Amino acid sequence: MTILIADDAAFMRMRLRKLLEEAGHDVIEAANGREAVAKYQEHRPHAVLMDITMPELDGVAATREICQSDPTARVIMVSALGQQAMIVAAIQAGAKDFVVKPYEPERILQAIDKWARVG
Amino acid sequence: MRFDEIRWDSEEERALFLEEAFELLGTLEEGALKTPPPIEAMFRAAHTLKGSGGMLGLTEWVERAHRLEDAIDRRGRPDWQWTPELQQLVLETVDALRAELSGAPADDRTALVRFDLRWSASCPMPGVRALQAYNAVSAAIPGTMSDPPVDRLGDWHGEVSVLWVPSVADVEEQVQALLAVVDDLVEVKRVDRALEAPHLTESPTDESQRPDRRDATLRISADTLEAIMEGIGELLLDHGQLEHRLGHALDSATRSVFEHMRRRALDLQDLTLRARMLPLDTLFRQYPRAVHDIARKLNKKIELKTQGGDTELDRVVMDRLHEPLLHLLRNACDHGIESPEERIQLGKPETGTVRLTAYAAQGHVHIQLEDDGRGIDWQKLRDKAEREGWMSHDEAERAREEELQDLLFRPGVSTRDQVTDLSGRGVGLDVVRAFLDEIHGAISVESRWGQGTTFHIELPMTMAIVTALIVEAGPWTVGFPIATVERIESVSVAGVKSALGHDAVSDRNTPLPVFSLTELLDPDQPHEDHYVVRVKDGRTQAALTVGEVTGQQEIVIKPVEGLTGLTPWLSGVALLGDGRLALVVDVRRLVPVTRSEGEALREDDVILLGSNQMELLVFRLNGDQRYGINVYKTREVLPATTVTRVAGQHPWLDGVVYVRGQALPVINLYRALDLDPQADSAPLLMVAEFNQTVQAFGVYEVEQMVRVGWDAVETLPDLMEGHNRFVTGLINHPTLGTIQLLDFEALLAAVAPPAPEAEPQLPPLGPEVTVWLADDSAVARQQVEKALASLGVTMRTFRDGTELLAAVRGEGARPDVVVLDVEMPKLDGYSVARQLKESAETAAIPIILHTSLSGKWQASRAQEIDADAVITKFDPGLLAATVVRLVAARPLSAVS
Repeated sequence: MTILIADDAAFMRMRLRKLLEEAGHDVIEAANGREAVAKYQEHRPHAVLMDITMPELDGVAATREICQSDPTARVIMVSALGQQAMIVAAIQAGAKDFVVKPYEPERILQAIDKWARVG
Repeated sequence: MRFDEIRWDSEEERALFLEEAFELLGTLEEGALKTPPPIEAMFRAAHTLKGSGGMLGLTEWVERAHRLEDAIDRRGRPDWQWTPELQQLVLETVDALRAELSGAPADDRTALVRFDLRWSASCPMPGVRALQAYNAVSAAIPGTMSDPPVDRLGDWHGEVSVLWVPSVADVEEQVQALLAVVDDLVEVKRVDRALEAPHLTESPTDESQRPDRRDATLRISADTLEAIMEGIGELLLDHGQLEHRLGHALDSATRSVFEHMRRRALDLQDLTLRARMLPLDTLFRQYPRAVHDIARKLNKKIELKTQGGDTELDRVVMDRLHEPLLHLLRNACDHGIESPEERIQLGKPETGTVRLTAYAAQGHVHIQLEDDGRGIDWQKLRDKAEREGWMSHDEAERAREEELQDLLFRPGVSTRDQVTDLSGRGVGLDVVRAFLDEIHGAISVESRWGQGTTFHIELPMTMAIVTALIVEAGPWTVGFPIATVERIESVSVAGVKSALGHDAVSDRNTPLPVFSLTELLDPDQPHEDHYVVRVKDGRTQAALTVGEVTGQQEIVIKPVEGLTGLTPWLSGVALLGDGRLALVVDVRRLVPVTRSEGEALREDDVILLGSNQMELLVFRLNGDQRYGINVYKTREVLPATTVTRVAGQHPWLDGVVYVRGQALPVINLYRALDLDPQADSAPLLMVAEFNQTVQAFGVYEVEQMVRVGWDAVETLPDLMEGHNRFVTGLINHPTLGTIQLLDFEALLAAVAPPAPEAEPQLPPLGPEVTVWLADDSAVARQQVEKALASLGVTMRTFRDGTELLAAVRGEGARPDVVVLDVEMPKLDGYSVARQLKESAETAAIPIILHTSLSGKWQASRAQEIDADAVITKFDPGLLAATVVRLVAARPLSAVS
């Protein structure tokens, strides 16, 4: 599957990329929300792992744009515990799931598999 | 018409009405409990409720809503005011309307189907998950409703949320399938009367077509969990017994299977424990309304503030905490908070405040209930204590508040004599305490007359999960409760400097002492420290250097029976994920008290030098007589194990046991004390370390630890000396009765007399040199006299420190050297030393502290008190040599 990782921290992207590639997925990266929306339109990935706090366009706004253009988009928020209100907003904007940081790698892979099965 | 009589045109219509009504009722209820209430929003809510009800022809409903709307309509009423009566009206109306709505769905099974969604206790944001669930279901089945309502799910925390789903075809299969994508969902359960109809009659669908049920679980009752817990506990006990019985016969392969078994059982115990944790909010959420209702009944104004509701607690404990806590709340409202008139007169705010705070610390969950009411009338309690004959007049007048607070928890004691229908006559504090005893919790009370009362509840650590910082120190893995950790930095960054003769780092420009954690645990342990961890707990603050920082982990702390005495800094141990065992430390007791922290001496949690107190481990041998041993002498208490007899052993010896690879002599107290010989049935083995040796004693029961002042210890009448030569003192404890303090050193000397040593080759000092000795043990006095005999000095002995002090003060005599036992009745050695050193006239007298307590802890403590030397019993050569050295080093002016 093709997965889009949207996170402004290069380290996080690297970690996620490693994890996903080892599980046999193809990875596209975006370093901010604006780029995430553009890359989504361009590649139509199977799923998006979306950070919340990002420059240019935050994860919630990016999710909203992506889900408006493609209601079937599988956006999974990856966020810290304190960001509850943001996650709620993202879910209402169309995000399908969330994983709380710090996450166990297994959780990410499970979430992706799960959504792959559903749709 | 009532709600349950309506014939609905469509499910959607009904669902919409219900959802809206729930939301509006929520707005009203929450608004009514706010200050100031959002009247406009509440008015609109009442208005809408009336309107929608009217459309449906709900007569009672409309009437109630109308009355409410009228009452809170302030348009054109300049003198309109929000009053407690109005608040009550709002709440009552909400209750009544909710009552009309409730029950309805259950009566009408075709309309909406209720699904209970149970969320995993470890789920970080159940509200967001519930929202996700609602979104998933309502997208496929329109008309689905959520309780709590959607707009409140964001910050909802709870265990079970409810979805009302229109009863479409195959609703259950659909909902289950839709919810399969939602994480942390432990169980989805359809709740309706049809539940009893056997689902088995439905033809089972092909397994492969079923939605993935990996996340699906069964509902388990708390009782079952409890039984599992107990079962695992028993398994662990059985395991211990088996291993013990087979003992040395096991080969290494079998041993590793045994070890594996124990590990798995511990893991299971952890898992089960975690399954039972719930945030305290589950409980706290019920109280604002309760307090409101109580206050109204009492015509008082009371505000409840809660804090720390996210602290997690074992649900079994929580279930049993509810009643006692509610009772304390009632007490605070009823007996604590004054009437508004009284408060105004007293210059207090009209509205009283009750504060409920929870936090986890030191592996305990603490709950504090504080009110700013009238407080406890201690004088009244003193009078009562005297009247009831619990205390003599003098005792009652002299008793400190801590002693008096004990009385509060007696049955039938109240600080207030009025009877009210809410809390009766203070009946219940005894019940509260009984409950806490049952789960090994504790309660204490602090109160200032006129200012308020604080109840402090401490619940046991085993039930609580704590986040800890895990570090490596030498060979040990150590956990600090995260709440005590202030900062972590590498040694090179921290900038350790020397200040006031001690390593220190700068903390906001004041030096913070630096200790090596490894050295605190064992000074001889080689180590290499890379990190500085700054810790703070209460007023104790320090920087500790450690080898490595492993990270944070959630741990379940298990207390270590019997170790707390020897290692007061150890709150327990925790099994880490990788199978290692971490020592969890209590920072307050770990960090040595530094000289500059004079005020820390008042910290009453730790027994400090010169506080003249000790902690006593109380045990029984047979009958009701209780015996005590200083916990600093004890190492651990174990179930009795096989004792190997040794040929030619002393009749008071049972033989030898192997404990952690060490052979220890077992001394039979029953025979030594001439008690009914139950030696073979003594179920426990108490391992004690003193006089630099380790030995074990069979005892019947170890009851508890109590803190007693040495001043409460009575010496025995002279007449008794010969008879009870193994008892050094008696304590009359208020609840435990008489506790006999055993002279363990004498016991040891009787069983294993110190080996005759080569006479020390020391120059005699002569009879003009006087050595004074205070020791409560006759055997010890003899031993010291014998050790110093060759010096030819003049000895004078005292049975306790007060006698010696009296002689120094009364006679003006100035001994050349004073030898003080540490543990003595009335005044301990530390306190005697302190008093001697504090007086200019006696400060120059050299002091030797002679202690049977082994270990570095004692040594470092003694040094802080300015003793000139500390000698661990019993080394005659060293004692004599030290006397000689100190006499030689005397300042000239002090020579008599």
